[in-house]
Amino acid sequence: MCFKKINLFFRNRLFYLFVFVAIILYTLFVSNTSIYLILIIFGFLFYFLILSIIIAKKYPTTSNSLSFPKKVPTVAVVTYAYNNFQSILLTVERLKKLKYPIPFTVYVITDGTCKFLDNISGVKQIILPKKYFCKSDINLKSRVINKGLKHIKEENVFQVDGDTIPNKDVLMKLTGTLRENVVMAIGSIGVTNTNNFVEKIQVVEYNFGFGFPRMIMTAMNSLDIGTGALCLYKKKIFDQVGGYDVKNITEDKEIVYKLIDSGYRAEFVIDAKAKTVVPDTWKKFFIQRIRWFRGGYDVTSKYMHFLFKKNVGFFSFYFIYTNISLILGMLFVFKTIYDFISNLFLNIYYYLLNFIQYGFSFSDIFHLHISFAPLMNSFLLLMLVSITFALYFIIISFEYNDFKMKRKHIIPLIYMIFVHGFILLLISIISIVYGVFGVKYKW
Amino acid sequence: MVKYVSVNVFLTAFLILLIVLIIIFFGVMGYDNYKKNGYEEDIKLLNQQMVLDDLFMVYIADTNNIQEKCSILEKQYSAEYNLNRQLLDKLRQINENALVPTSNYIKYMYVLTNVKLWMYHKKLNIDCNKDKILILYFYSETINQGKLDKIKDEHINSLFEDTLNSISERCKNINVFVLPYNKDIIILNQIISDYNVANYPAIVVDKNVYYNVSELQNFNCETN
Repeated sequence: MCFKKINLFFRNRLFYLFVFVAIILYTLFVSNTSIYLILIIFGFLFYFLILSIIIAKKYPTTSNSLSFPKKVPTVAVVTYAYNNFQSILLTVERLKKLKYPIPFTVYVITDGTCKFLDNISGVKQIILPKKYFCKSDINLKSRVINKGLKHIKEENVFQVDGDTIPNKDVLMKLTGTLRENVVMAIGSIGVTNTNNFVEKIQVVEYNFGFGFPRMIMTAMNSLDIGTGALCLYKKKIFDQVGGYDVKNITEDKEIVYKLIDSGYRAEFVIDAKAKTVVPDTWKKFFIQRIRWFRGGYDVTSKYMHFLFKKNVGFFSFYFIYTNISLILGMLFVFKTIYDFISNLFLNIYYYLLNFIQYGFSFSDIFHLHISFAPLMNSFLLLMLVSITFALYFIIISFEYNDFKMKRKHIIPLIYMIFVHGFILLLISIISIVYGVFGVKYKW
Repeated sequence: MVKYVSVNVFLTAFLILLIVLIIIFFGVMGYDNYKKNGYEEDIKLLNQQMVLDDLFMVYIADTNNIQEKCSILEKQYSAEYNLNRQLLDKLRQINENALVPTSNYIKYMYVLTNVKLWMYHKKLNIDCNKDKILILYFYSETINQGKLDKIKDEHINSLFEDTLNSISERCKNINVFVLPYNKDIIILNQIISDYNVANYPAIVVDKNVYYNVSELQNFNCETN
């Protein structure tokens, strides 16, 4: 056990180091990117887009809910709250109203401070010792759920975050999906808070990125995330694989890898919908995404054996493909930032040097060297093709998610197309750096 | 029942991608090559003009009307000079923007044409007693160098170009011939050694070589 731990630790660090070194080497030693390399990378990244478009046309109903099973399984609706978290009441009220053919219990795992839950019918508190609710513990959720589920006897567990409000029919829509080796079903998440720009960006992002791509992954039998905010799973299998990994900060991703490793699958159901609260400031958004990326990379390094694993269908392909795409994206983004900043500083240095030596005005020099090149050039052509593809993908994605664009979404959408991917890859690079230097995880 | 994607879908996507890539590849190459071919055509046109000049020179060599001869040649040369300057701008633009780099052939032809033009102008000055000031500008050419050198060169080149531009605006009797400091091209090597150009960037006016733009600040349009 101890050896396995050390092995995992080094494997993890080695992964971060490998990506870090690749980024540095590419940035410093690849000076000119030839058209052939550009086309290879372009092709690599666009393969998924083309694949998605074909799947969307050929398998449009892949993620639709399946018919409810004849034998109704018992279900425990589980959420958690601590520190006298009053807002849980709203969630609990909504959970109680969920449609299901047989009665079910809403379990709230608490630290004993939520006394207001005591007298609500249909709701049971599972009180755990306070040590499970240490606020500084970034794995609080996985510890609490793992421990709390030991008190539950139902066949299925429907897990919902305290700030997530599901639609009434969610359980009905998700239950049919659990069958044979499909042991986890996840729903589609929307955004509750839509006031400021950060929130609006996430509205567009959730509708673009968290619906359609997951349907594509499901169709490829390669869904690799469990969406802890809203998922239904078979408790027996959950227990069998050892529950959540309490050492991973994206336990909902790790659990799916663990399930796939054991021969099971998760699937996405587009019409099982819920809304959740998203970060409302850039700082919170940044912390959340760092957590997602670092957790994701921890999972990748832990399950590196998927590279060679047989009998997982297309998952190995998906695993290799997504990781290479991410790394390629990071190489490009870091090099672009590095080139921009270094060019800026070098230019300022030489402007100043020339100014001191010869006393030329800045405006003269700027005037001579900035060319706007009015003619369309081949690089612009390539960019145009890329944007056309991306736009088409976004349109299909919105359509699939039943998302109606409003005027207030136009600027966030423009930001999404031209800036968001860049920002996410930048955050991904930062998370790699954090990983290399062992920076403490934050929630 | 959920229908999972079959291998055929992956293959179809790969085929479509391949077709898209081929279209893009040939589109990009075709577009850049189309533009480059246009520049090659410009060079060919210039060379045709020069052949015409040579013929003119031979034809009017025996004429006694020196004035007519000089007037014809001056017009011809100044038109070619302007064409060649435009070509330089175009070459710079394609170098900045194109994915497909400019071929050495175009650059080489541009250099040779420019040298030939410079020699014609020199001859015109002597034969027709003209007072045109002919300036050779050797810019530093960054080949296989690091980014630091490239930016340094760009800045120092820009200083020289800036100075030459301001001189050209001030003095209308000036023709500037822009050449790379490249000793691998035999004719350039010859000029570089003839004029003792030891470093780059450098500006050659008559027999004088300037390595520092501040020396040209007070350039006299008449006496140089």
